[in-house]
Amino acid sequence: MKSFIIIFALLSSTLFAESKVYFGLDYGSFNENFKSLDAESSSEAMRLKVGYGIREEYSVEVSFDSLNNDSKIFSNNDSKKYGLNIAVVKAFDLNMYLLPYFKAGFGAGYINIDREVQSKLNYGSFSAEVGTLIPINEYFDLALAYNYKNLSYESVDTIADKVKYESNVDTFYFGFNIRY
Amino acid sequence: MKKTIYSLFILLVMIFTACGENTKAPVIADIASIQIDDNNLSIYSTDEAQTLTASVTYTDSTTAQINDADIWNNSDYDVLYMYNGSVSAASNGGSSTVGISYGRFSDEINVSVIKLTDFNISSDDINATGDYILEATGTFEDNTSKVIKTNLVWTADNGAVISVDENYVATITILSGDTNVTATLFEETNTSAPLAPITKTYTVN
Repeated sequence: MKSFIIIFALLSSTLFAESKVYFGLDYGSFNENFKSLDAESSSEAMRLKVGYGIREEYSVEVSFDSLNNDSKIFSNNDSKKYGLNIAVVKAFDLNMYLLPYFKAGFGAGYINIDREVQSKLNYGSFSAEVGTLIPINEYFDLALAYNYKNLSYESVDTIADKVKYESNVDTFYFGFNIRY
Repeated sequence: MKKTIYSLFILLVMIFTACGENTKAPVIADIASIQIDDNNLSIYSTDEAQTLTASVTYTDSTTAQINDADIWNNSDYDVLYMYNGSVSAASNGGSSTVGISYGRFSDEINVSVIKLTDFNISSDDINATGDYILEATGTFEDNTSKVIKTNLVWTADNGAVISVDENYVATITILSGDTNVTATLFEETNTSAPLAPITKTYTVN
């Protein structure tokens, strides 16, 4: 326990010493496939990120994403999806020009729908992401990423049943981060 | 290096976007209507519960039963007992509106209770200690005669024990001596024309 506290204290002090707040914006393209439904959705995605940490090490990131919708799955008038996510980022400094990273997190969101007895479906999500940062300077970097997200939707009410659906969302993102 | 990465990414995005399909019609059919499948109904005041059925029709014209859904309502619980679309009389006569509603959808039917006008206890030969089946038969306002199953309470003295099974069959265990057996109808509700309880005495020497 003592050694854990010491290591944690050392890590914390290092992290705080070199950590920076960063803001980022990503644009991407996603493809959503449902597990028990013959349904698919593909469109564009945007993501706004706020994080804190060391670019070459660990960061904690909160992001707000918006997924456009060009499909009709739950109703004739399905809207965009909006989600809030929290994730831990681990980057690997390989002494290259690139900083590959791995990100894992979870989140929640919703989609507005137009069904007789439901106007909104909430969902929970788990995500994993691999990508690379391309540092331009100390304060600015570009990012390329592939993000996998598993969405578990709230039950759809058909009176006779309440049916839960799950989907997998694959997204390619391209964006930038500004660090302070 | 940068150019290669950007080109690769843009290529991936283009391929990915090109591969993506969009479902253009809702695959989860929505509710089009709900209905009670039974028409207006008359039930005898002492019959067992009768199950009504309700169904939903979806926008793709498929249907499903929704009996167990929390959609049922009843305008007068003094007249009619109801649980998930299962109805039985709570009083000797009267009528009640039974409905279903969900969102903007609803449907309703009228359930009337056929009144019991007279009844009697079956006169089995009870002349020794042991178990005997008790039965009460009623005559209703439409001149139908039926065995009374519900809204009937049996009581007995002289240590006799009466049990009623799930099929509404009452069994009495008679001991020696005089045993007064009483059948009372609609004990817990006020009815406009209550029927007086009937008592029969069985003697076992």
